[in-house]
Amino acid sequence: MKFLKNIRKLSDRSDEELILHYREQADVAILGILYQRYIHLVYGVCLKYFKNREDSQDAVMQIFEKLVDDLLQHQVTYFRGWLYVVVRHYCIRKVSQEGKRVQQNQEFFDEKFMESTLEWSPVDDTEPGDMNRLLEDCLEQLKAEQQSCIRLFYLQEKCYQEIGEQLSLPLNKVKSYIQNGKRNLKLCIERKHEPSA
Amino acid sequence: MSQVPEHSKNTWYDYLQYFRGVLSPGEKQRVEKRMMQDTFDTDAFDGLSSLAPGELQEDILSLQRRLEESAPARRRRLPLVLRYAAVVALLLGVGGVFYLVRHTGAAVQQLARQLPVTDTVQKVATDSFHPGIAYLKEAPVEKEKQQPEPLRSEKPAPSPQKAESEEAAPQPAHLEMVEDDEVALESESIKVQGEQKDAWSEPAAEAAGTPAKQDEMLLQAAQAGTSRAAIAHSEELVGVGHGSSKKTTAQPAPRNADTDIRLDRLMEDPQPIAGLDAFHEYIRKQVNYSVLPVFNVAKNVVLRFSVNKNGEIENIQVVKTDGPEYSQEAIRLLKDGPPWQPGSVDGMPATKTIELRIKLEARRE
Repeated sequence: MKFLKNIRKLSDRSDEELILHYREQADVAILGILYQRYIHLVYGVCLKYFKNREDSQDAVMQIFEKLVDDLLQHQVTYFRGWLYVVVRHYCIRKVSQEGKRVQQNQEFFDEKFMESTLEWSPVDDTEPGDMNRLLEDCLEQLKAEQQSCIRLFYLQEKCYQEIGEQLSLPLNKVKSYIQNGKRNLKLCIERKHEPSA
Repeated sequence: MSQVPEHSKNTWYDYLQYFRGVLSPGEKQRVEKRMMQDTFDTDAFDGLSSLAPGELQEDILSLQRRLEESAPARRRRLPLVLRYAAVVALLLGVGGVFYLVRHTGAAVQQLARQLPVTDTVQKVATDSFHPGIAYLKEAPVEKEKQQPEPLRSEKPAPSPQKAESEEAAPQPAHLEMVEDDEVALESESIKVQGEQKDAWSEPAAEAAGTPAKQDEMLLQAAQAGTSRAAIAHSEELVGVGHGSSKKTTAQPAPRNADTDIRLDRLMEDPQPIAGLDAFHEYIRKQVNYSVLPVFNVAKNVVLRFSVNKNGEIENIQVVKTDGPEYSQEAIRLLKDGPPWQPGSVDGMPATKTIELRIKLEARRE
């Protein structure tokens, strides 16, 4: 029975515990369990850059091979964030090697090492109907599309599809309006907080 | 900035459902909101949304397969002490089985030797486990208990009566003794058969021709009460009727007696070394819900597979399933699972095919 407990523990363990375990035993199977948790995200990011299913799948596997060594060499404290950086770097290098131009190229290079992939904004914690003045003020300052998308998404809890239909926008536009609006809101609120603090 | 607690993250299943378009607008919004709280997810979402709904699952499954190939599931190693304990337990178990085989076999032979009987009657004791009179008494009961076997129809059943009378006539005294003895043996064997009834109900003759299979067929015949008696007696008749040809019947006799007795008691199905309970416990704990389309309802998969002499699992077939993803996961669990102990025929490890229901429990959040 004892060994069954050990089996269960392996898949129940946190990312960081698994990494420790992997560093101790250098057992690729442990890394496999860990990577399995993120495989869809890694694949998604690769798809975003390569825009091709086959290349992306190969990239997912090559990144895994890379992790086998990298995780032994580097001390990783937050796997999720670290993996995201690794994946992006890999994709950027691959894409630029092949001389393909990618739209968001500029965004790639201003990144810094990431402790967290969290992108929190005050709107995340705002319940519909419970708007504070500060947020409302900042919301007012957003561009029209961003503002209406944020309002519909966070305050009326509509999904992309509904917003897209309502504003006759393609879904990826809706997403980027919300994403950028969210970022701007956060900046705006931080700006307003500073003087008072 | 603190890390997002795990429960507020989307799983791969959330995305699968999302892109399949089976979520309500409210559910979609929740997935989207969670997705937008994490840059990794946000980026990945852009990529994933470029896929057709069916492609997402297909690609992730194929990736998981590739991952499994390059990082094969670890052979689970027992702690050293437990490993020794397992070896000792296994040895004890095997030893015990051998002891039983030898013991029972020897006892019956000894019994037969003690009887002051002629060659023929001694052969009744060793050769046929359920001889004439005693067997015939039980025959109607057996008939009710057993399903009609195809084998039975092949063997004509009218001989027992004749056999009995022929046999009873020349040596009434010996037969009486044998009869008493056999009644006891018989009742025991019926009990054993009753216990193994489930096992018997499977058609056994899949690859007739190997000695083990022949034995199994013999046993099936043994089950079909009257026909078994018929076989015993037709063999007997050869012995009695043609005194000169006794040698020919005498030769196979000891082997049959031996195997018949052992097989009645010692046909073991393969099972997980740690036991079936532990195996089901393992299944319960190890289900990878991320590959199951639905996991809030328990799903069942019945697998048929062979466990060979080395305890390796072969020829996995799906007998019944609630869906291909479930069978795939069940097969994975079986393959990656704890080691199996081979089944045995005649006390020796043998390849045996069994069916196993694997229940993928509903996920408990």
